Amino acid sequence: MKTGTLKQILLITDGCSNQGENPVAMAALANEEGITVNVIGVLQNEDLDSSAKREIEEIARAGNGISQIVITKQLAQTVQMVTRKAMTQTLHGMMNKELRHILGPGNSIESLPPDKRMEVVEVVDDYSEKVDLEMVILVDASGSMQDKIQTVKESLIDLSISLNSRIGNNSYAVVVFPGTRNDAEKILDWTAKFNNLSSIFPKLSLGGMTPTGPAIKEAVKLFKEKRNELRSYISDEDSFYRDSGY
Amino acid sequence: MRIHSTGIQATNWIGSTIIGKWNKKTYQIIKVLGSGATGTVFLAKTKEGQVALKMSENSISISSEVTVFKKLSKVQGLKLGPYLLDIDDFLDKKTNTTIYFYTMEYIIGLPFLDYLQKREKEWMHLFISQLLSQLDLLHKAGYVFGDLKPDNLLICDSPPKVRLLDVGGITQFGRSIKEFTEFFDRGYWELGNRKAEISYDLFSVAMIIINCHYPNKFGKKGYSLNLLKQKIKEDRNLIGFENVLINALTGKYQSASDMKVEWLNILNNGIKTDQKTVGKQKNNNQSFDKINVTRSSSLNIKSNIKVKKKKNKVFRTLETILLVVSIVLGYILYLLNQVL
Ligand SMILES: Nc1ncnc2c1ncn2[C@@H]1O[C@H](COP(=O)(O)OP(=O)(O)OP(=O)(O)O)[C@@H](O)[C@H]1O
Repeated sequence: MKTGTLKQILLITDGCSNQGENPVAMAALANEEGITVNVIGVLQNEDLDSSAKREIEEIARAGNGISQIVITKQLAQTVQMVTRKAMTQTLHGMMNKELRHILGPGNSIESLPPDKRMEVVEVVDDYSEKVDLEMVILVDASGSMQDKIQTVKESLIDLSISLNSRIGNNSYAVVVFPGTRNDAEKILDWTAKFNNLSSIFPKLSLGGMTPTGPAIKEAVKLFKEKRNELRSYISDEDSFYRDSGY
Repeated sequence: MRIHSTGIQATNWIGSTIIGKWNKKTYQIIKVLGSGATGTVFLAKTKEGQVALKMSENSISISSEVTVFKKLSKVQGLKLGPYLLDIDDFLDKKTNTTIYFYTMEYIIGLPFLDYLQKREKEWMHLFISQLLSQLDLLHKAGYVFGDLKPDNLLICDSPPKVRLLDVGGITQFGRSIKEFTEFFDRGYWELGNRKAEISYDLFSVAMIIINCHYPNKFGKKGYSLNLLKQKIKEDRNLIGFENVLINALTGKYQSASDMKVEWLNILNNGIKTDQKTVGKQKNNNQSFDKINVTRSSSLNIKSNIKVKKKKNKVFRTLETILLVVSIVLGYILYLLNQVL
């Protein structure tokens, strides 16, 4: 099984989008590019209006990912679990594709006898420990998120503790929406560590719009930039100066 | 870690009989033992006796837990968790979904903190020591327990012994810990990463000890190590244990047995506190008697140490003599060689 790099978007939001492209369509498009979209809905308490809930679930379904609604207090654990689960799920999906390729249609991990299934699961476990991960985190910075942003920050640091304890490499980028000038603004470019996170978030200006669709679009762009950057790096190894564009 | 993934309606299964598709074993579900992130555990009856049966709609989580069981069974002398009995699945006709399950030894016991509630704190001292021995075996086999917490410790009676539940978190050295619980996780306290290392488990052991004295736990505030040090200092039943706890919290021990040695040393040297039970129960005369016993035994130990020191001296002189003799012998042999 060739795994390459897992690409994930993690969207953290507390409500409905109301500006720009349709987020469900954007999530489906991201999935066309081999990117998984996971969504976490953060609430102050259990109640959430049903349209927001539906949107959260639909985005994740379109993005072939996982969605989970939590109250703010449990965010750290959830961010970690959702990311893990999504990684296993993606690898699991790849494994099933491979199995059907070998054993013919209709076969899946689930249809194997228990001991064979265990062997496959062990391989999946192994991959999820060793595979490289690229992750764009989209943080809703609309007005209602004001009192949750501190918890979001802590959760992301907690997530990086978990992921950086893996054997595989990680790179993260963080985008907030809306940004100060655009619908979506990159506040942390691709990095292996979240150390510098605390210095970025305080600058956030929390506005009224929620451009979720444009944020997903921005995330897809970031994945592409990363790929191009890598390619140009490989193609002109001897040039000292590398223009990162934009 | 509460992602309620299992759509299994626990109570619906009580009284029903299930038959595994592959191994054809029959199980009669008696009651729910508990449920968590990865499934629901039932008590079930078989021809051979009672078993604990864990089921889930998620084949991955069931299979990966079974993988851990299988690996553990290869470790000699290790009896820390329940042993595995069967792994199978069956079709739930009502919902037309496949349910995955495994069965294991049913461990009868009281939850750790409940057991300690009504008893003298010597019991806690004993169980921590037992726990460290078990962990040492596990570590020697190359695994870390991971999700170590009072909820995963059961006390079986006669003789009282600590057993571990929920082997799902057991992780090979060097990999990342996937299952953990805030209060007992060094990552949460920002005092380390989540790599499977011996020190990860020992951190949790220290937090279990702290939890015994702070049943309601407490949250993160400011720099964690200072907070934890302060909490240790504030509970007078923890006097004497500061060093061992802080060493464990800061990853100073190379092995669980190192920590155990220091733990036992403290116990043997007598702890200068008034005897109170861990669960903050009233003293009784019996435990006062015990103070005297420990005091006098601590004296014995001190004299033992002196004896050991004396022995050491004797040993050293012997060593020197032996060394000299062997050098001389070597020289003589050399001379003889030269002559012949
Ligand atoms: N072998 C066993 N014998 C007796 N009781 C058991 C056994 N296994 C599990 N239980 C009971 O079932 C409960 C849940 O089991 P388990 O810990 O395996 O669930 P889980 O889904 O892994 O939960 P978590 O990971 O949140 O601790 C336990 O707390 C315990 O009370």
